[in-house]
Amino acid sequence: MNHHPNIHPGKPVVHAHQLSLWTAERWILENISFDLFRGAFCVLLGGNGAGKSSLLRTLAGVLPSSWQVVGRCEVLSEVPCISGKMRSLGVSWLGQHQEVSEDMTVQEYLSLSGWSGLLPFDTEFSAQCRSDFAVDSLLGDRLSALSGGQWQRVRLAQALSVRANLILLDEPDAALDERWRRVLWRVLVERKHLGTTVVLALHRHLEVQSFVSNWIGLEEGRLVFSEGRPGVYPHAFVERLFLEKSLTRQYG
Amino acid sequence: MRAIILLCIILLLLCMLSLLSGPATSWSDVWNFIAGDSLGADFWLNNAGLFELRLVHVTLALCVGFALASGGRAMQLFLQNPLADPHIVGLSAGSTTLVLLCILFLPSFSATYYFDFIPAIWIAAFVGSALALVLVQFVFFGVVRRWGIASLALAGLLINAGCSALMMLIFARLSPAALSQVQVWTLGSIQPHSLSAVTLLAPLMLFSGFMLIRFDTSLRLLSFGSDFAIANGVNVNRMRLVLLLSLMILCATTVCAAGSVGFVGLLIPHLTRRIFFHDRFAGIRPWLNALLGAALLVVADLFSRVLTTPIELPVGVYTALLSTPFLFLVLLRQRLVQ
Repeated sequence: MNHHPNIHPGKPVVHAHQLSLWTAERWILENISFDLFRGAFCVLLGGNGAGKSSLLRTLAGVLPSSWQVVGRCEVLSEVPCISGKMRSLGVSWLGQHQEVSEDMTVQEYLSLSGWSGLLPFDTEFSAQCRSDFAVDSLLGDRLSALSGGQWQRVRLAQALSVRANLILLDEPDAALDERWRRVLWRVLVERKHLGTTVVLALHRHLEVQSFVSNWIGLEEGRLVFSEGRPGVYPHAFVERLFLEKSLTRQYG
Repeated sequence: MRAIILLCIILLLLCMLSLLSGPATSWSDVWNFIAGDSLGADFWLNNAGLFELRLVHVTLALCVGFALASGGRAMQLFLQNPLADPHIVGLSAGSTTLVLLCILFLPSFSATYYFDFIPAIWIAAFVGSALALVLVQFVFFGVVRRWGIASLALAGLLINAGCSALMMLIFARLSPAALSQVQVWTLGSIQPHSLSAVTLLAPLMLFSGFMLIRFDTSLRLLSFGSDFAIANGVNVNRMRLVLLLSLMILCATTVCAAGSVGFVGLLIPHLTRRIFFHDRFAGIRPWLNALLGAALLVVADLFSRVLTTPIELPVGVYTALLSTPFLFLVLLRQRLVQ
């Protein structure tokens, strides 16, 4: 009931078909095709520079305006807008880094979520996120005074306190210690059970393997591995990640 | 909300004080008026022209302060630069330059007073700031876009530098009489417009200020980077356009009303952030900011009329003189508290 009315249960939440991404200089993503359905929990694997962040940004519609998307990329049956336009979807995206120039308090920062009405603010989610990530005790603090882990918790609480159909998180476990990582996985699994589709870019994927439904492996912008069967862990791919050899030859 | 009402009352009192005092009236006249002395009331009835002159001054000061403070806050958030002010993108400089050019090439004005309701001057101010806007957009899109939103400041730097050079050239060509009049204006001083001119200028200034205040939440989102703003539903491209258009109106009208008054747009947003740092002010901070700017300019205008009586110093001198020590004190106090 918490969800966007126009997702059809049989239709994919994310539908990418021969998706490529061109920066003015080179291809960052090439010919990527996959589908994700309602309630999927997808992890993107790949080394540094494999294109995980770019794929998440493409799905979120948060790309520099000079970049070009080729092929089909439909999110919630709509084509995500590129180049700074407002999206009309319930997609919550959290990037890897975020600058802090305006020194506001945590309270003020949290109040910024759900401002536009596109991502409706949910009081229940918000209260839950605040207590889960123990943000309540930080409310009066300045953003510049937070530690790396505290800042990450505040950002997560802000990004997850909206009613979204698709949650895209880029290395959300960065700077979080054991305890908060476990909290994060719990919150995400709860959202998955509510029907939200979750896509994560992760390096420490062993912690989440028990509830992942889709694995997507990327190398140099190519999709080299895609597994959607439950309970299947991509051993071979992960082991190959530790090697310097090109995986494209093996899988592509 | 209570803070807004309190600031409004203070502002109203300041306006009253400013209306009542000036070089032509002594403090006893003011007191007589406040005390309800019939002599005092007679004085004002007999000097309606004097009252009108002051009304124009106070209204323009109010609106200019309101607009510039909002503009300063908007630009600081937009460019993610604490040193930004409404003049940083070069729109005021463009406007000033074109007005000067107009004065130079239209010699029929040489005997008259320039800045009153002369359509040519006003059109020049708007066209100048529009031209600067086009130039800024061109530089932004064509040359330096890859450096992100901060490159707008670089584009503005170019325009400011070019315009100030042009202004110097024009100064050299102006007659001494015109020069003395024009120079005070370029430094920023409230011009004695007619009331009809004020009824056109004041709403425009207030409108541009309101537009910028309306964008405050999007701008606060934008201060975390444009990606974050887009992800939270801000249409960044459209916002930049509307923001710059509002800024264009703001610059053209404030330049018409008072030249380019410095320091208000730069210091007031910082002052607001320091005084009203508490969370409960977060939503109304842009309003408090605008009201504080208006109050500062009303006081600065009063000082410029009263303190150095025969000479009217540029109001920018007093805005700097008033706000710098105040900000310094607030910063010092905050440091001591910490």
